[in-house]
Amino acid sequence: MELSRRRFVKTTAVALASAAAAGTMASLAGCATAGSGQSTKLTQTGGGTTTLGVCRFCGCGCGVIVESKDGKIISVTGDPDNGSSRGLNCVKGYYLANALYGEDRLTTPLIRDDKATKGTPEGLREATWDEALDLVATHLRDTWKADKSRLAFWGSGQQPICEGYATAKFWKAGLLSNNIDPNARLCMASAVVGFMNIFQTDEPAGCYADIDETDVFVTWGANMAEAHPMLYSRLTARKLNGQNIKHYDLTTLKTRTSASADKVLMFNPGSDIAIANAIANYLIVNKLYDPHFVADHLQFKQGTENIGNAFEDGYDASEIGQAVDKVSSITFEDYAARLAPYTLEYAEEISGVPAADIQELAEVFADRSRKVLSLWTMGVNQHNRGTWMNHCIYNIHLLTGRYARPGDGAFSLTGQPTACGTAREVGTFSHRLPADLLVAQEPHRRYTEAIWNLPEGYLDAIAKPGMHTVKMFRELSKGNIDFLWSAHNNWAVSMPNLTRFLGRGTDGNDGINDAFICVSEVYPTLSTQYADVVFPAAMWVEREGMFGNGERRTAVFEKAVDPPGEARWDLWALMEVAKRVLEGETIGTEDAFDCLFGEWYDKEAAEFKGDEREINRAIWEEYRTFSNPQLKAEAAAINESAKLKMEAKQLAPYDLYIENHGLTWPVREVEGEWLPTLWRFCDGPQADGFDEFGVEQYGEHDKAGGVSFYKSADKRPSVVFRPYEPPAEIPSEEYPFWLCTGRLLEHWHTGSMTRRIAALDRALPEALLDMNPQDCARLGVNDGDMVRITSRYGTCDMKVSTAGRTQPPEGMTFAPFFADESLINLVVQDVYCPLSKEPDFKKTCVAITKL
Amino acid sequence: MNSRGAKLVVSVALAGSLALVAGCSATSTQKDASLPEPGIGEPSLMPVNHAGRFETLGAPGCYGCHGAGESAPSQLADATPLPDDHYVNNDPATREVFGARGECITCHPQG
Repeated sequence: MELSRRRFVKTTAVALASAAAAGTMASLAGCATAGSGQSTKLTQTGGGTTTLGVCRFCGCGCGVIVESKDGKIISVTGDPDNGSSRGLNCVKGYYLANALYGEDRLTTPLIRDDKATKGTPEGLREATWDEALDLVATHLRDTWKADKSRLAFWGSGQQPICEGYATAKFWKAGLLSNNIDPNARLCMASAVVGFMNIFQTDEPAGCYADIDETDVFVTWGANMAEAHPMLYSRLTARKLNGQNIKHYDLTTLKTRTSASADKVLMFNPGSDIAIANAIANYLIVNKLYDPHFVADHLQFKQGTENIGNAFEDGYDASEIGQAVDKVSSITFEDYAARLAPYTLEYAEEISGVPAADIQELAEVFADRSRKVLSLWTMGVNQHNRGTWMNHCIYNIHLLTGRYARPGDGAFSLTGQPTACGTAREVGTFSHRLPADLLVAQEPHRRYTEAIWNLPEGYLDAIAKPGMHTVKMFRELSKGNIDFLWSAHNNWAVSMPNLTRFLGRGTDGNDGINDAFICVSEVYPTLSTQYADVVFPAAMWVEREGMFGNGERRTAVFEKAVDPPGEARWDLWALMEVAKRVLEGETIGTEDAFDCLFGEWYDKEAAEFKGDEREINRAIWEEYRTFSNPQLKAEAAAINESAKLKMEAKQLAPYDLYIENHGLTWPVREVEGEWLPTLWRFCDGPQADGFDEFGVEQYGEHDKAGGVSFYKSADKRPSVVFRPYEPPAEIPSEEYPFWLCTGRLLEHWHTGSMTRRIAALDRALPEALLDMNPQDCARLGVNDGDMVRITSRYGTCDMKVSTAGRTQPPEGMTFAPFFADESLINLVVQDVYCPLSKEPDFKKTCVAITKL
Repeated sequence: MNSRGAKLVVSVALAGSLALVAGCSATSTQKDASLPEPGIGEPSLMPVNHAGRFETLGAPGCYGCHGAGESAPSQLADATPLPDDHYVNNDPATREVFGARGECITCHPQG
């Protein structure tokens, strides 16, 4: 648009002045002072103590300044010195002070004596910590000794880094179990498997600054306005302040994010792969790709195809299920030949997007005089072919040399505040170890043993991956899990196919009622209704912790206030459970607990060997050895001989993260200073944020684009051909609508925190089903009517909106999942991407009837 | 930013009309007492009578009443002016809202 914002504000001011009766500023001066109360200063005004923090909510990882007084948090505002957010927040961040003070905050351990009360708000009684800990530890130990395949931990991309690290250490080295998986499996798994398949290293090469530098934004199934609001406000700012900045929004329904798009490419659900392949095909056929980049940096592959869908529990073990990860090398010409059927016309046929629009987008990628930034999250990841779709986006960017360069890249946005920092980097997954290592790789196990002081070969017992999330809950429902512990999540609201997993179906899958479940929580939730024991946990800045956000920035949030009542730091509860479970056990010749945790925790005294800062620092120092092998000789030797290149994710000493308000890894020590990296694999001065030392140590200079993918096999990322394959289910006469689920701005996930904040609850009090007005007319449904939503999985009731936050096209509906009174996930399918095991929350087929 | 916002601006600037002003005055000048009072540093919610405003008009629809500080006073006595930190260099005299602050509903959702 021609008129810039600045000129508008000036213009309006002039217009208003002249419109006023006297036409002078003086006569209007009275109005100006009438506004009350709002502080116009940048700094806090409450007169309390300020501490450094990171927002509790999304993967943006905005820095915050927390102000507390008399033991209570009184304000949370943006931290201008945090490089990720530069002082910005969204409404959720600003209201964080209230999140800790809901009326029903859990302050004592709770025990359920009668399992028949599961699934109801009653049945939990107060207990002492000793009773609760003894009960949990006894059940865990009994299960561990009897059959350790029947125990599980469901963790989170919201669990602080050191707590996740200690949990992983306990589960993997203490219990020798891989049945630990995070809720990030529901969020980022497809992105992670994509990264590992393509680059052999997880997490984006670029950073948020790319948003401020690019020329064209391409959002792929991403509603950034609602889900990454701070980043979205920078997108709109860039559009406004830059020259000829464009935004293409590829989506299955219009959202608030579409408002800034120059073009919305509305596609049939699941056809995004066809569109991406058509773009790649166009680039190759018209020789618009970057031949030097291809020659210098890429290798080509194809993989197992016709992989079906995981409807059945036996899918993973089936012949096709076991073959999904296989790939074979092909030539560039082979790849071009595989792409050939993906003409613009074919893509239009599959997707419904006009061929001319797809061509326009392809031309955008072809225009090397302009920088392009692709952004995506759940629309691509929560997809029955999510891993493949991640591949397809990278294929386009790799063919055109648009990766790891400022403003020019593919940015896989992360949903949760520390899915990167904890789940992915620490490895609280059923198949991982810390720092990108895998349980299945022998040198990776040796390396981990070296750092954890375990006897050589000790971790061979966990060479086989454990249960991923959907498998965990499917087995739980069938009565095959006797012990489950969950923390920093709300599975009873966020898991798909709740009808099955909560035992509400008719097929007898009510294992949830028999299993012993421990839930660590801060508020009563639907999950605590199924718990046998509830541990009251310290929330957010009631303890010190670290998060790692979507642009690889690790940051500390300092302890600001004490937890209420008997709520305790999760890490303490973990130590207390671990010491009971491991009593009398040995690792090698050493006491098992002391071997794993003795440096940090005194099990006799039942307390840590230092304050929270010291303990976090000590745990961090051990953890960062993984990416600083020079700190431990045995580790360095294995890093060298097995060519692990562990320095690729180098982390700095703890206190620097406080001093610098967070640092993006790899952080390099240069003449006594630790310098962060903004663009991985991009050659250039470390002082400017480029990956100087990584490229120097393991890469090659002067390659096309000035990048070197030193962590990839042969330094060549893989372009893997992935075909279009349809969604698991498509609309039929019985289930004629698509149901897409997701998030909206004001509420975080299942709302257990944000719905207790008055202002946020007021802004978005109920979950509505957004429907297309024509569809409503056909069904005889009006705005505000209640409808029943039914899929082959389950049913629930919701109120309809035709004037909602999203504008679905005919045949499409949208519902947010923050409301447990509607519990939309009763209806949602649990089929998952066969490679990543991440469920497809976006494409359930449903019937809608008026109530 | 959508073109509808741009057109509004142009019409106000050219016609010098009270179109935008009239739009403002149709909105209640009363504070919405039913909304929770924001604490220190908390951005206030938009009152209920602002429903749909941002979606239709974009940020220009906000600036008309809430724009600038003393130099270009808010149109209505009760319309809270944008605080200093929303401006470039924290200076309302620039009359320029710091880019990323222009997505008002990110922090000020509808009550």
